[in-house]
Amino acid sequence: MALNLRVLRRKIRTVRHIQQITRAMNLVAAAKLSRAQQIVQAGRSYYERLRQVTEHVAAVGELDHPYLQAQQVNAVAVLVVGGDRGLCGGFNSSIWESAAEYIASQTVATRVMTVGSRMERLARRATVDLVRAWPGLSGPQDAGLAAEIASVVRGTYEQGEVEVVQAVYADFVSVVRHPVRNEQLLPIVRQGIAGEREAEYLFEPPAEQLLSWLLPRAVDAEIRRILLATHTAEQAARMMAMRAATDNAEDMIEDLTRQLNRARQEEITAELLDVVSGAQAVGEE
Amino acid sequence: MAVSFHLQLMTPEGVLFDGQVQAVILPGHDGYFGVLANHAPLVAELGIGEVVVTPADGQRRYFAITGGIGEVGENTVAVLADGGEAGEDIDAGRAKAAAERARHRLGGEGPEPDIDVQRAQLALARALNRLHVVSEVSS
Repeated sequence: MALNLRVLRRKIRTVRHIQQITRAMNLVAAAKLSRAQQIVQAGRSYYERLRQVTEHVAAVGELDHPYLQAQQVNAVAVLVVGGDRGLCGGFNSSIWESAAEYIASQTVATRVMTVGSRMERLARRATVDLVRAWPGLSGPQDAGLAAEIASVVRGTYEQGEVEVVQAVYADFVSVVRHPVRNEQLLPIVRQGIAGEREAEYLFEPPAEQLLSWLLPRAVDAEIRRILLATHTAEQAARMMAMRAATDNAEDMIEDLTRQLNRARQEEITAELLDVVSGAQAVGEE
Repeated sequence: MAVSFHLQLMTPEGVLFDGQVQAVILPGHDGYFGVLANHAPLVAELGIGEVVVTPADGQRRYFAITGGIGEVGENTVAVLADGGEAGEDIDAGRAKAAAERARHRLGGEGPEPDIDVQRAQLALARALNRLHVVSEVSS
């Protein structure tokens, strides 16, 4: 009996220690999240508008540029963006699952590029053609990584190694919503060429020059946005996972404490019985 | 009263201006150009320069931007700048220091001969632009 009590006490202590850690991680993630979230929100209208402008320009039918031409597809590159660390619930695995599903559905060669060491690890475990792996974003202000990734991605496309570049990442909609998205980075999707928009744009400088200046920037900006969104979503996922873990630990401590109390009661009762029956035995003599 | 249109001036770091304006002057690729209401649709590359906004009600405002893109739609204008600051927020001291630094690097006899000349030139242009915008705000 006494052994049982000791075991229970030790269990409670262990759970409490773990809870301290998860609580600290929850707070750290919350702080990182609020910083990243501010940056995401500040840039939201810029990125949305840039996408619209690019769409408007791409919809002008007579214009042409390699970034707008859909070609016969012989190979596809997939940029899978995830996190560097775990303890964020199903965040990383759901991104990879979505990417793996897409890769499996391809009938042509697929080259995989990963961002975030978790993605690299998952890619190596799977049988995919991993051509490039970067670490994740070190912080929401990290602009260098996005620039490097963008130049590799565009280079791969420009040199004709692949005809389509797809990005799989977690978008950040709100703290509780970060859906995994799979979007085509290149070629830039042309919408509504069929004259639904009759905008006669003037271009300054002339169209061809403007396009070869604008389109690469649009791709760079989108990659920047994707990295930032995924980074922010990761913090949100971790914060929620750690909050859930802290709550679970609390429930567990309550449960164990109840067990402990019952065990203690039982022990006292047993001891009392011993004493009483012992006294009776003595009295009967 | 003059006809007004909607102007949004934004950067990845935030929205600098959002409101009804009478006119806006933008730093185009080949020089400044003005936009009034009912301007023809236009997409233009913007350089490092100054954006002068005349709001529908009142005082002119000045912004320094470091290049970007401008789209004129149906009575809406969007300026998507890579970076930018409102004139009143520019730290003249810092801009001056940045200009000095860039000038020093371009001086030729600097300690590092292999510096990125293009980058230093851009830094100088940005710093001078900010100083120019500051001077317009205070004048």
